[in-house]
Amino acid sequence: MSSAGTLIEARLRRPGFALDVEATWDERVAVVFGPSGSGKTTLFRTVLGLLPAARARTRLAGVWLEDPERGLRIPTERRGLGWVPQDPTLFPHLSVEQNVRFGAARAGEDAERARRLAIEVLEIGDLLGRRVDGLSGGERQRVAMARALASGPRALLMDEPLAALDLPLRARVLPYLLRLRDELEIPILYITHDPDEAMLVGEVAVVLDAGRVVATGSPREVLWSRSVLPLSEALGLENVIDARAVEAGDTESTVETAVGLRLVVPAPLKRGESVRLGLRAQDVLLAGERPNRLSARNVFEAAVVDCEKRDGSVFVRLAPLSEGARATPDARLVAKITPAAAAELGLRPGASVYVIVKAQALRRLA
Amino acid sequence: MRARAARAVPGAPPLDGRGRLRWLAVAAACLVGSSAGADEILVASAVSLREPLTEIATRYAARGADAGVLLTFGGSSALAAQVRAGAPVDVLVSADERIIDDLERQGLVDAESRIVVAYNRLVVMVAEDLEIPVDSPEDLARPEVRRIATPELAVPVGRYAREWLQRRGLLERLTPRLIPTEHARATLAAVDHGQADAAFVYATDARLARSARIAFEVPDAEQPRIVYAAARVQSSTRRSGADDFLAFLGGEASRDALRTAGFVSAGDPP
Amino acid sequence: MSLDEVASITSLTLRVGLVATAVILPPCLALGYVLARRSFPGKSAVQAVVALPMVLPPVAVGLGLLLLLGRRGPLGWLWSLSGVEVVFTWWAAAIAAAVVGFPLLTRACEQSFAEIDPRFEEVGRSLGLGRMRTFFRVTLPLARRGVFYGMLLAFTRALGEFGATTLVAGIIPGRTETLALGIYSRVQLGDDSGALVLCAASFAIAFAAMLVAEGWLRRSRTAVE
Repeated sequence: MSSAGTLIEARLRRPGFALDVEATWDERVAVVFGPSGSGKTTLFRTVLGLLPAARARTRLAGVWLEDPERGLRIPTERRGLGWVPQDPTLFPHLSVEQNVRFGAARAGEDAERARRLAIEVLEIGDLLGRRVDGLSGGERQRVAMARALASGPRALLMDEPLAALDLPLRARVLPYLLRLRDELEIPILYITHDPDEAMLVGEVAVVLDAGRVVATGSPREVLWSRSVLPLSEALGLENVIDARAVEAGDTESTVETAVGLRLVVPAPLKRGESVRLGLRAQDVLLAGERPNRLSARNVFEAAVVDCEKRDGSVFVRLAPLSEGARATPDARLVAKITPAAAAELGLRPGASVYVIVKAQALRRLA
Repeated sequence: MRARAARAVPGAPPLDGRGRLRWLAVAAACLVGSSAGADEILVASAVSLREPLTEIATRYAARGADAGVLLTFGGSSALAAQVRAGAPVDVLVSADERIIDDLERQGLVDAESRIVVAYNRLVVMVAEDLEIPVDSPEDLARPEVRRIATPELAVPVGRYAREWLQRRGLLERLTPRLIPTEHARATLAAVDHGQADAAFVYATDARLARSARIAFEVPDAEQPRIVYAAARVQSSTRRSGADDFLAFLGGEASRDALRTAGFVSAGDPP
Repeated sequence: MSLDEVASITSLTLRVGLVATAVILPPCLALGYVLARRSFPGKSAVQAVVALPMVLPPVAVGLGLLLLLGRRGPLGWLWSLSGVEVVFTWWAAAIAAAVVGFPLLTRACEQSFAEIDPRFEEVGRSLGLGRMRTFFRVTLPLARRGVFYGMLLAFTRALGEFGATTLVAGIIPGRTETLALGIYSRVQLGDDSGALVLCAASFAIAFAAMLVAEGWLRRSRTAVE
């Protein structure tokens, strides 16, 4: 058995879904990464003790919460966990202050200190007298974090706290989150399906797919490992491009993919060097005609394979048609654009478009 | 109020200890009610006898009886159901002697104690705006009398009316004109308010009419036997009190009260 | 009819309605919660049994209660033991009102609990409150409006309860004669004006109950401001 501070084993069978997780780590801040439906939230709920049907062994930072072998099963209310659910789930019948004080009894003598810290770190002092239903999305999220924190938890469990927020809001809440992470000494478990967020927040990443752990380790290494990449690809968030350098330079180089597509990359490479590039779907621009006088270094023609509407965006799968490149199923790219843009471009399977990729958007993964 | 003070404490739950205490206080206050006394006899009586029986009970008490009298009212068949279920009734006064017959057969009332309390008579009433005079049973068959109110067969007055119409050979012809009413009082209301042109009611109810008038009384020879009977309930635990009250109920002071209310007293059988 | 008589009938009716509602509140909350949150074999059978007093004619409910509580009934031995008789007391009226109000309040509780996302309770428990305290500090306050309307419904149903009450409580003037029974017997006796006075009293109670309810709900709505 491992001497790791944290150990989570969870097994649960439901129609159409099975969770079978085993993971250990010593790091304080762990991200649980995986596409939606991979079992992240279910895992949290077993850690919280909310799923009596699950068979779980849980030790959080050295403290046993559940161990069927010893007949140990601490009830949810005595686990001392600060849970920030995905939807903030603030109590609508209480004011902000009453929400923050809700778990104060558990904090005991430290209640006042824990509350002050929560209010200070999350800067919600001005919100205390407000009603919950008058708060903005970001404020709600901060209050939910403060509520969890003010209960003097032995660990924080945050379930995609940024997922419900739009991008500008994320940018505003993220600093609070990082501050929270840095000023606390308690373990944090953090769920996300966003690779960037996972890299930013986590010291260790536990990657889930279809109810199983596919990798555990440092986010920087693990998130781009062979076993994990298909996940972000499957989410359409990331294009992964394998290529070989054909022209070397001091600041930028040209690479060629297996199907003959040439791309300019902002990195000094040696001739013949193999690289793996990441390109986020939202960084792929599309144009109806060949653009000229453009700062972007990479422009090539591609055929639309299909379009899929998901989460308010349109994911367009493309087959590059550039000089000599033949469309093969392997050489597909995904672009994420707005429905309005898709309509304006008149995208339909078989249509031809121009793909524009800033060199800066191509990140070297390996 | 207290609730406001409780609410002023931030974080205080809305239904706190004090709130629950308040409920207890209300409940406790309500407990200080009365339940049936041990030395009272309970007389269950047909609603139609409420007026005279209230008067009789007052007179009985004034006479200085050992036990007080508690009256409960209801429809005669409901009272019978109560007796059958073992309700703590001591004396039953029914508007329909057949109900007493049934209970007697079942051994639920004491046959020895049984008395006739009063009689009633069946009368025919007409609405005040009916254009033709109705003086005889045959007049009911005239086309101007379009609707005749009478309760269903299951209600005593409905049964009496049908039996009498049958006897006069009018039932078949008049059946399409009969409009069913809930009970005797509703029948009177129907003819009083002009929803019916004619109605079969008890003589005692007829006295309460506002606008409808009595067309004719069913002739003496054809009057149904409408008998109000009383008996001691077999399971009564206050036998002597019950018998004492029954004796008083059959006595002269009671007959007087019944006559005043329009009943034919037991002393003057039809 | 004297004012005293009206006042005594009215206060008896209020007492019956309040006691009936208060007595059924805890079991209705518990049962409503279980029905809203748990699934178990035979749940629909339980729901059907709960709804029974609502489906059956009140007279049948009264007869059932009479058979149950009467001297010859299964609970009749209580009478022979203690000499305490429930039938024909205002308690019987309260029991009848409680039985007919029970399905209304249980259903209202069940529905208002079902509308509350169980996540709120889970968060409450994660913050250190046991199931009971979570119920009283999270679930019940969130469901208060529905529960309160259910109580109002049960209370007003109690005010109007007639069929079951006449059988188990009788119509004993001054003891069990509630407004509904008083109206009935006065109509029976042709005392229409007396019946109308009692109708007015019924209306006044129902109206006052609505006013209290509205006031309470408005206050609870603004309580956190």
